[in-house]
Parts: sequence; structure tokens; C-alpha cells
Amino acid sequence: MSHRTKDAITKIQAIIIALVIIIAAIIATYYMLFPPQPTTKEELVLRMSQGDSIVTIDPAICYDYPSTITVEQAYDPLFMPSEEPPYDPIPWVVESYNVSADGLIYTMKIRSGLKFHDGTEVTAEDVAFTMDRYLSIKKGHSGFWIGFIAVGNTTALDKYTVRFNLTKPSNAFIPSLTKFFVMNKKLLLQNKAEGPFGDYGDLGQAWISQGHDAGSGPYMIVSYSPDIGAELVKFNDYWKGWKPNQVDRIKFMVITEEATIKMLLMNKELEMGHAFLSPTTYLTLGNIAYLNLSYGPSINWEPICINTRRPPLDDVHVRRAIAYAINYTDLVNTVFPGAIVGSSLLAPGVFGHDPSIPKFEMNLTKAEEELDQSSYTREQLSQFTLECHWLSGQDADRMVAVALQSACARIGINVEVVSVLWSQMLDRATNPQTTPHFSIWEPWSRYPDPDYYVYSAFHSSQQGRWITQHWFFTDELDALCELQRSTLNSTERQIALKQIQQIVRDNIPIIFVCYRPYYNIRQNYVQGWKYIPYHAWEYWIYRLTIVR
Amino acid sequence: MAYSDYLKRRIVFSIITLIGLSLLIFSLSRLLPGDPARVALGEVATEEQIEALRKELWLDKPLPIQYLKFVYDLLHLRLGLSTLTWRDAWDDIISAFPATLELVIVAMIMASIIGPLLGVISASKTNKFTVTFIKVFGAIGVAVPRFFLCILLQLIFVYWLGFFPMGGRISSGITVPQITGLYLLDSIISLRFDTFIDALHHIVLPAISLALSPIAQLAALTYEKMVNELNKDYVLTLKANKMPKNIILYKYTLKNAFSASLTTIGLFFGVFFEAAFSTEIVFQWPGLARYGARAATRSDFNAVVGCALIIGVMYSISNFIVDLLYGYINPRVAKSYGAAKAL
Repeated sequence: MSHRTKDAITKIQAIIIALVIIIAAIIATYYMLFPPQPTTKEELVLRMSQGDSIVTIDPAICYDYPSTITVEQAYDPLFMPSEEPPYDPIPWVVESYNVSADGLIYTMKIRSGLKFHDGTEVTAEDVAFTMDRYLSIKKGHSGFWIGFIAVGNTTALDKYTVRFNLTKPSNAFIPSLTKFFVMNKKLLLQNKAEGPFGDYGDLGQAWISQGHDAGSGPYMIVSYSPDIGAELVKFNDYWKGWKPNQVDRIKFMVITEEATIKMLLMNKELEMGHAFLSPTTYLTLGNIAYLNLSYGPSINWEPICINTRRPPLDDVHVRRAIAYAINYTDLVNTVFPGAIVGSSLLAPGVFGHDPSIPKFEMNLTKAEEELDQSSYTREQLSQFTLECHWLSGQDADRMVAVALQSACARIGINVEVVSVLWSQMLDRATNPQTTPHFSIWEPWSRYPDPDYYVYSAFHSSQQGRWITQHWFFTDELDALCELQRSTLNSTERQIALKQIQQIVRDNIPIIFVCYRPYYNIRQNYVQGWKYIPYHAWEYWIYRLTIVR
Repeated sequence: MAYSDYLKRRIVFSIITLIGLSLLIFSLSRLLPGDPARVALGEVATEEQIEALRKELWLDKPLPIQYLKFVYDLLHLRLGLSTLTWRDAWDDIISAFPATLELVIVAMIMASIIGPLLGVISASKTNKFTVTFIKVFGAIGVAVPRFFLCILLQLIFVYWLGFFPMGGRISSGITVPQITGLYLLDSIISLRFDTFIDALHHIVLPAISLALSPIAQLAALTYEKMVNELNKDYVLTLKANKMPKNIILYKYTLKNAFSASLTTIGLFFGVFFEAAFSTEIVFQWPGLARYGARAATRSDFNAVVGCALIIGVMYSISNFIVDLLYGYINPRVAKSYGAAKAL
């Protein structure tokens, strides 16, 4: 009995082992004969990381970096930021335009012969439809135009002429059109699903979300999955034409883990990293011979936003004392190599920047003098514990928070450093009582105009947003913000901008620690990268070539 | 008879659990910090945009109405708009779920085979080295944080040795026929062996990182049970009858020792879904856990509810199956239920 059992088991074991060997042999032979086919050898592929999901590929919905980068490859904007300072918007789909004397009517001639990816021609009707689509969906960058243009107020005068009728003049209108991506009306309506927009159904939103594009940009979206990434191939009929060595295929890969991105770049499995790696990672990678690091000061500030409605920060002398207590040079050298210490709301190079405003500097004597003028006694100040919130995951912001904590300790003020999620920060920013004493975050200018920082950061209509956590609003500031936005006189605008900068500097609702550096890391064989300070345009891949 | 009653009762319990779970998850999701509309539209949004989205998400309605809408949608296989992807959360979950399921199944297979095997080997070996090795391995397997383990595996097997790809489910340029969504299975069904090898190549490291801790726990559990079994009288009798050692180990003692491991394996199925979070993030595995983690940080409550519900359903199903198997392997369980009912 025992022998029979023993034999049977031995046979089973033998059969299993034989099967495993046979299967392994078959698979190995197959693998050797037909190895996985990589992409065509001649194709120039650019693989780039995206640090977060590509939430959408719909131009009317996107506002985040990964989505906007993807959309920018597949769609053409009406205007494009120029590649050199001061990065003024230049006509792109638009060939020429004129503005009425009252600044309310913009008549634009669009280029003839531009083709959408399905071969149909881009017309003025597509432009008018796109504006109405933005305004109806009410997501993404549509906030730039809501309040200025009503649905139906954009009209196609003829095949190539479109007219925008604004309800009030705005200097931000043309710059904001760098985020206006023209969509193919016919294609979207052919693919509309049931939706809330009457005869227009869902305006093609569901169809776009399935990975389709309706653009005329240099690349066509061929695959898309929010958490995996997007793949795009070049559009041969692109109106700007193609030169040798331009990228044939783009692969945006969603990789959230910084260590993984680092290893992929080191393994040459990525051609380029995205914009939000930590400065330390960029600098480490920059030391590798086959990687190319670009960095320098940007126009975006690293702010310490001070809630001016909560004691003791409601006293301007306390705010000034804190500003004098921070060691900016050390902080910049340690955390933001390549950056320059901040001075005003508008960075050097931006229209309206006031060079007469001095840089922030550490001066403990002046800090003490300011405290002497404060309505709070030293003892009262020492009894406060002020909260400083920084965005979880942003290590540089944490280091700024810690520097602020040390600075405040120097003048006898206690600060507690707290990491919060973005959602928490947005939620608390809606009310001055819930907004923390200090908050640190990284703003990015969305369009090439000072209006973005001035109006969105200091006009009282913007209160309750994360960029206005200072709660510093005055009638004078409101009037100046309106003036700089609406005046058609450039000198008058410049004067208004200088006055705003002076008021902000005098009252210190925000400490501009530095103008954050930009960084870009890529393989040496990727050439042509240029820093463009306006939200994702530095990753317009059409500009790049691959020369191995 | 008692077994069928036991079965019915388990089904009723599972349904009640799922209803309670949906209510609990729905309520908890509303406690996530941040206004979902404000978070979804970002810092550029105007109040008008935020209000419009709140209406679209039914956030302007009372909670009971929102729950009824949620149940209605669920019955129609919808979960509501995900503000993470601007699609219905159900569509996202359906596309992410097979990736996680495949990872969990492979990790389960690894854990179920290697864990008990190590336990048996260590119980059968008397030499000190083997026992120490198993114990040290067990301690490391349980103690090392999964996140760290993932990065360590990447460093050794990807960066230094170059044996495996850094992440993802499949190499770019290779397409997988979409049949079940499980790449390994789909490539076999469609006889695409190159794709199978590539998918296997991608899944090895993530599966190891997920399975290591369960392997260690199963090895320790099996070792303990096996040692107990090997000291019992019937084993002495078998040894006295000169029964071969392997037969005693694998045919008699392992079967008895395995019932405890089986329960643990079943529970691991649910645990794997939860544990997949860090693995999926590090290995860029486009699965449910990665999607759910991102949804939670963005206050995307429809997606969070969907993910939690799916994981809850997986737990319930695995528990249900384990209960059935346990009742089958060990009839005393079902009988004891019958006896308890008679009392």
C-alpha cells in the first residue's frame, strides 16, 4: 500500500516537472524567435514623466499641469506666449486682430488653411463655438472669460473672421487667449452624447474623455488613460510644417514616485522629467554626464502668505518685523539654488515691475524697531502660537516654513509648522478665521500678463481663494486693480502697477521669499528646450528635437 | 441540512454587510476634508464655476437625497462624476479593477504556495540554520514596510541588475487584446506569448512586494501548526509503520495544519486590495488602489465611495468563500452551527 502511494506521487511529481520544463522551453523558444517588438527604430520618441494623473484631455476642463501639457500638444491656441522675455502673446491661430477704441470689441482674422486632425479646415465658426463651449461647461480656464463674455456673444463674421464682444474692457483678454484652444465643432457635434446643453447634448465631453481629440495642434492623441498617461503622434499636416529630428511620438507617463522618475532618467528610460521634482533631485541628476539640467530664476514667487485679519498679524509692524527676521540669502542658497531673493509682486522682466522696490533682507535691528512700534507688547506676542501651513509633499515649502519658524523664534514669536493637503488648504482659505496665520504654496502664472498676479491676488472679488489667504483688501487696491486691468493707456497701467506693488510691499500681506527657480532635466540628446514662464508652455514638445 | 442553513445564513449576512457598508462609506466620504467642487476646479475657479459644479454633483441637496441618488445610480451601474478624471467613477473603476485583481491573484498564488511550503520545510528540517533562516525571513517579511520594500526591489532588480522593468503593466508598443482585462490571461487566450512574457515580466516585482509579508506570515503559521501536528500520536504511528517522510508531511500533517492557513489566505485576499496602495504607487501599477489613493487626496468622493465599495465587496466575497471552504474542509464548523441553532 505504501509503495503504491509512493510510486503514484513520484509519477505526479515527474509529470509536473516535465510539464513545467516543456512549457518553459516553449515560451523561451517563442520569446527568442519573436521578441516583443519595440516601436519602430527610426521613430523619434520622447518619454516624459507626469507627476500626477492626466485628469482630462478636454481643453474646456483642464487647468492642472499634466492635463494642460497634453492639451497643448494636440490643440492650437489663438495666441502663444513668445519664446523670449517678456514673453508677450503673439498671434497663433489668429493672423491679425484689432480692438475697438472702447476696448470692448475684438475682431480677429484667423489663418486660412489650418487643418484639424480629421482634415477639415479651422474656421471662425469653430472659434466662436469653442468660446461658447468653454462658457457653457464652466470648468477649467473658462473663469478667465466668465464675466467678460456671455454665451452667444462671440460671432463668426465670415469664414475667417471672428468677433468677441466683451462686456467690459480687459488687458488680460489677449494674454488669456494663450489658454484658448480651438476645437473642431463639426466633429464634436457628430460625437455628442446626451447631456445638459439641449441640442448640443454634452458638447462632446464623453467622447473626448474616451481618448479622442478634436484639435489642430502638432500632435494627435492616440491613447489616453488618466492614471497611465497619454501617447501622441505627430500630425503630418501641421500648418507650421516639420523639420528634421523633431519628435515623432510623445509618451507622457504618469509616475508619481520621485525615486522612480530618478531611476528612469538615470536608466535612460525617460527623455525628460516633469516640472515638480524637488530641487535636490534636479541638482543630483544634473551632475550626471548624460543628463542636461536647466535652471534659473522664474517669474513665480515663493510666498509666505500672512493672514492680516488674525492677531497679532493684524498689526503691520509685526508683519514687517517677521519679514526682517528671515535669513533670505541662506534660505535661497539652501533650498532654491539659482533663485533670486524676492522684492515685489511682479518679478523682474514682467511688465510693470518696479525695480526701485528693494529686495527683502534680514535685519534684526529693524525687526526690533518694528516690534517697538507694534500695539502688542513682547509678552503678549510670546503668548501666541501661530500656525504655518505648507502643502504636503512640497518639501521646499516645508523648509521655508521651518525657516519662518526659526525667524519668528528670533523675535520671540512661536510658530507651529503644519502640513496640510491641498483640499484642506482650499477649504480653510474660504474664511479669514479658518485661514492659518501663515500659508506657503507655489503659485504659477497662467497667462503672460501681470494681471494674473495682481488681480487674482489682491482684488477683493477674489477673496476666499488660496492665493488671497492674506485677506488684505482695500478700496484703493481694488480701484488700482480695476484700473490696470481696464485702462488702454500703457503708461497709466504701468503707474497703477507700481502703486499696487508699493502698497503690497508697505503692508507685507505676502513675503516674497524669492522668485522660484525653474528646473528642467532631460537627456543630452533632447535639444531645444526653452523656459517659458507661463503655465506649461515650456513643455510644448514641437519645439524639441532629438539628436543622438 | 445544517450546511445548507449555514450557507443561507452566510449569504444573508453578506448582503446585510454590503448594505451597511454602502451607508457607512457614503457617510464617511462626505467627511473628507475640502469642498469637492472647489478642489476639483482648482485655484483658477470662480465662485460661479464652483456653484455650477456643486449642482452637477448634487452637493446642493440634503444628504439623504444624495444617498438615494447614489443608490439609484449604483443600481444603474453608475457612481457619479469623478472629479479626478471627469468621467463616471464606475468607468474608471471598471478600467482600473482588472489591474489590481491580476496583481492580487498573482500575489495570492505566490503566497499560498511559497508560504506553506516554507513552513513545511522548516518544520521538517531539524537543522538550526533552516529554522533560523525561516524565522529571520519571517521577521523581515512582516517588519519591512511595503513602501520601502518596493523601492528596495526596484533598486536591486531594476537599477543594479536590470532584470525587470521599472513599472507599469506592459511595455509601450505592445498591445494587449482586451478580453478580461487581466493581461496574463488575455494574452494566453489570444495565444500572444510575447505579450504574456512581457506582462509576466512586469508583474513579478510588484507581486513579490505584495506577497512577501503574507508569505512570511503563512510560513510562520504553517510551521507552528506543522510542529504541533508532527508531535501528535498518529504521526508517531505512521513513522512506526515506516511511512515515507514526504507522505507523512504532505499527505497527512499538512492537510490538518492547512485549515488555519486557509482562513488566513482568504483574509489575505481582502488585505491584498488594501495593501496594494503602496505597491501600485511605486510600481506605477494602474490599478484601483492607486486610483483610490489619488481620489481621496482630491476629495473625489464618488471615486472614493466606488473604490471602498469594491474593496468591501472583495472582502465579503473572500470571507464568504473561506467560510464555505472552511465548512467543507472542517464539517464540525457547519455542524456546530446546526447545534448552536438547535440550542
